[in-house]
Amino acid sequence: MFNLKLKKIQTILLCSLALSSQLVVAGENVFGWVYTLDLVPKGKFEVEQLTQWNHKQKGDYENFSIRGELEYGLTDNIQIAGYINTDYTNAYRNDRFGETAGSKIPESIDVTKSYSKFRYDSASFEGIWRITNPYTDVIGVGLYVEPTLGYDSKSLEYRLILQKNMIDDKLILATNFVFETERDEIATNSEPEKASHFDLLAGASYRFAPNWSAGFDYRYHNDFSGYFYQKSTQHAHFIGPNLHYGSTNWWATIGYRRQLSGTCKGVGKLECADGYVLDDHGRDEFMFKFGIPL
Amino acid sequence: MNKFQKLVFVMLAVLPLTSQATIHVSLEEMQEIMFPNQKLVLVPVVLSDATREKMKEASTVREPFKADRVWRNDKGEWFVLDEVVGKHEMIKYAVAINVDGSVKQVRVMDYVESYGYEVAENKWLQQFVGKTGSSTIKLNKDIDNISGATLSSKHISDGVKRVMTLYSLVLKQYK
Repeated sequence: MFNLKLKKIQTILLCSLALSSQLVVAGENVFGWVYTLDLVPKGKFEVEQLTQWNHKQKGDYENFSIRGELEYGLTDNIQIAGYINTDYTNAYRNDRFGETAGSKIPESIDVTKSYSKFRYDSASFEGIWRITNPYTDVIGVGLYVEPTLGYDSKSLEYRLILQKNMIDDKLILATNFVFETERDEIATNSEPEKASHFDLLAGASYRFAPNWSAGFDYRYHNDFSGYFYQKSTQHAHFIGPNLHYGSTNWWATIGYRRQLSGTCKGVGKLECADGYVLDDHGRDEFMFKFGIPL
Repeated sequence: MNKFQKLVFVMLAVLPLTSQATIHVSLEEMQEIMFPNQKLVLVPVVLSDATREKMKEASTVREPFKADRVWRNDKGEWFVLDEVVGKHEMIKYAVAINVDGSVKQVRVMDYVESYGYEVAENKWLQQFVGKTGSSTIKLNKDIDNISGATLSSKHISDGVKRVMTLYSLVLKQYK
């Protein structure tokens, strides 16, 4: 029988939360996944720890994507950051054929047995340019770029960030148009996977009491084969609530989103089961963020 | 989780939580700073819905104004305590108004945020001195922004505009 290794998961989760207080300080974010234009002031540092937990596929599946980040305000409207990304995957008979396989899982393993591994994943650089400010302009507009270099994957992500603040800036509406080009060498082990992604992220967050905000995150996810969006391979919808606490010395955000439905097609058709997209997605996805202004 | 894991977790989590300075000045202290050795009398102010709407339109501040925090001295000068939304908590500030209806002084009383403590410095607050109810009092127009404290700068500016609108509509009628 498959052992979920709950103690190991518990330890990783707690350590990631604890490390967050060591490693992270970043632009305070009230959303689980949607990025905003709330940047670190010029000359200031912030540290932030992000842990995304993707839970449950067809069989047993837990994936923790753990990112430690250091942010710096380069100018009033430009923020840069560096990330160290680690990953923990624990899976057993999680794909549509009842085999242990999928993203982050090498093909070389015995697909009838469980797979469990914690590893260094990649390093990323981030740059955000706030073109207009949501506090003083009608709408905030920003551009985001994030190149990532890993030992088995390389990617370039870029975003258009839109943000509208209302009701004394207590209500924040934000949208991200996310584009990503990726080369993944672990998916097949033999031939690198060339893929491109487009996500539409949207959310609302309202500060309902001093220090506290709550709202929701929505994601419309799309994968394509090839670097230039040649053929659609999957799409899925996710939605769920977020809760944020912010104070003088630290802030934390938790988010949850449920995969409502997913569809696979073409070369990606084997990555779906029971109406959900699997590969590196879960039916339930959780985000834990913790930041400290330095 | 064994004892060692618990110990590491607690140490890692707690070590970096350093305290940050905050600003807190009591009402009595602030009245003494702005009107030294002078007696201030609480003035009961009643605001109609129409007046509140005009104050909101002029300032864009939606947070309700508390009308029971207005004082006056025997010279006819005013002390108004107000608060606006900050990044995490409310920013409390006081506006002193001269007999001629111009701003005598603005001071921040409560500020509990990660950044932007420059809004409590006299260098920035000095911009409000001399403004009247007919002044624009708008960030990036006649009030300079503070980098890294845009939300606080904007809300305090709007708050002062609201207080000065209150003066124009209501307080200057008092004899």
